Amino acid sequence: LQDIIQAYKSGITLQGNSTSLGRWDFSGSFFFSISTITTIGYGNLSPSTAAGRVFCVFFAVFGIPLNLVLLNSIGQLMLSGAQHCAHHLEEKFHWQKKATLLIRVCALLIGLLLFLLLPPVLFSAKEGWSYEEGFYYSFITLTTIGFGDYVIGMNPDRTYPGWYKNVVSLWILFGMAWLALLIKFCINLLE
Amino acid sequence: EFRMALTSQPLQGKKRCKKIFWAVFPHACFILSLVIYAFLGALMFSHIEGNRKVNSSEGYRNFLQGLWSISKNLSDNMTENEEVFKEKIYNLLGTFEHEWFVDPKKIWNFFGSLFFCCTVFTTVGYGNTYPITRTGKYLCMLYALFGIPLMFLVLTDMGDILATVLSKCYNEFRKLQSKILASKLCSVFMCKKESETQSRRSLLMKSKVILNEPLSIVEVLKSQSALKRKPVQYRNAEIFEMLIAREKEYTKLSRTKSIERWSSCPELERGKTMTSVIENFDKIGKELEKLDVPILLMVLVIFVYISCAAAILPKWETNLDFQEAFYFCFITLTTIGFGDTQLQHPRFFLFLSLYIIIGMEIVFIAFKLGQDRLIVFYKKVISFCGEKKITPKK
Repeated sequence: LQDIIQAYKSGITLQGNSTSLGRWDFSGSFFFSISTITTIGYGNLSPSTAAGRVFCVFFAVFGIPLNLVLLNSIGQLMLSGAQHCAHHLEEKFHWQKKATLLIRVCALLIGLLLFLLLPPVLFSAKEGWSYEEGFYYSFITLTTIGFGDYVIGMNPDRTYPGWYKNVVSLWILFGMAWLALLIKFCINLLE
Repeated sequence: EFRMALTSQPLQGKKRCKKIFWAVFPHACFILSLVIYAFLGALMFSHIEGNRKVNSSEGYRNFLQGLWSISKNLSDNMTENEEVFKEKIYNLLGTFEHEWFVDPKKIWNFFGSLFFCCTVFTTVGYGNTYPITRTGKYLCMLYALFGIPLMFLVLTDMGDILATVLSKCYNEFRKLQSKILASKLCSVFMCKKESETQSRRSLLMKSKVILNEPLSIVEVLKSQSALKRKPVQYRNAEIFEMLIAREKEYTKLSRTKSIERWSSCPELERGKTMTSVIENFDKIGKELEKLDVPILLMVLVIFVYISCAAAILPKWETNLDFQEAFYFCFITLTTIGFGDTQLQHPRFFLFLSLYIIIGMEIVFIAFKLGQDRLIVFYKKVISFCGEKKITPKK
């Protein structure tokens, strides 16, 4: 019975009656490409033809460095934005070294709020997960582990608004950049 | 003085051993800490998830009920049965939940949990095993929070070693290339001047001796006054100068390393090694940043490396052929980790863990190089666009 169900489960993703993120139409393929080049790799959709796999390999070879460049530039943007704010505040209130520490802590908290604490609220509203499950999903996605036990937009009984996928993709991008910046910060602190 | 000369001989042997030990110790320390972390995690998860109470849930019972009622209502006609069965079972299988058919004790034994922990801190995350209990999920997040930076540290540390090996091989290759070019240059010179054999021989001998040290190629070229008028040799001279500039860079870098002085005082000696060991911790990752080999070489190395594993893997994973094994190794080493390929013997895969670490290393270096090349490419494109915009204004 287990083998039948295993085989059928991979069949379900190929045939119809699943959500747009579970089929190989444009939005499903787009989500698959994103999960590949960010190396999250959910696995709810994966190429099964030989040609698809070959293309996937080349796609990843060029896409992953491209993604790294993008993440780096987004991280630099965020860092310079935070430094600008620090500069402005220092000029306004004439604080000294304490300001930089305060700004750093503030930026960290804002990032934490925006990327780890608020998205589970969205997920629990749209996917019907509990807050903890949404938080677990956010964490596993942003660290690019990506088990695939929870994936957004896979429930065929629910309708998702048009902006949902785009907002989630943006969140993944910025969240990963923020997390990479955070890890760099921590390593610098340790040194 | 004589006594010191006598006693210094066995001491030198000891000193060398100590040197080797302290050189290897930090790297071994990192790897060992990662291994211990993996083992601890495996113990933890096998305890927490393995002891999960499997109570047959409502959904499972309804599923089995539905299955039973469908098969009961089938007629005797076989072809009719197939159609009806397929249709009715479609909707029923949609309610399937993975956790009903999973025996926690089997999957979350020690090796299964070890495999799971590896998929967490390497961020591969296949998803064939994942935590189901609430404590398991929280623990998984905490484990990842500390495990991923540790893995990253090990990768960067070993990346330094790999980068030095790669750049040394590449430099040797370039030196060989320059030697061949220079000998070709001298042979061309030989053919054009068909005068006395003695002068030729002396020239050859002179160039042979000088070529052993690449810094002296400039002197060779400068001494051949006839060369100054030949454009072909000019081009070669440019190539040589570029090569020499590179060699100078590398020799400069090697000179900046701390020079250890032999002192007769063992305490000073010990202090020096400790400070150098502690200083080396700061240099982690610096070798990686200096690496500058062509990216095509890295891509070739990756494909050869993956092909080796893809050739061996089907020996015990009998349902994978070469292409599928290649795809699986690639998806694992880039840490994408779809999890669509099922492994029959995950334990054997654990034995390849050294291969996997080195493979992830190589892929990591290649992606870093790709990043740098991309940035250079973008700069060129932007400057090209910028120039185009300026010229119409003029």
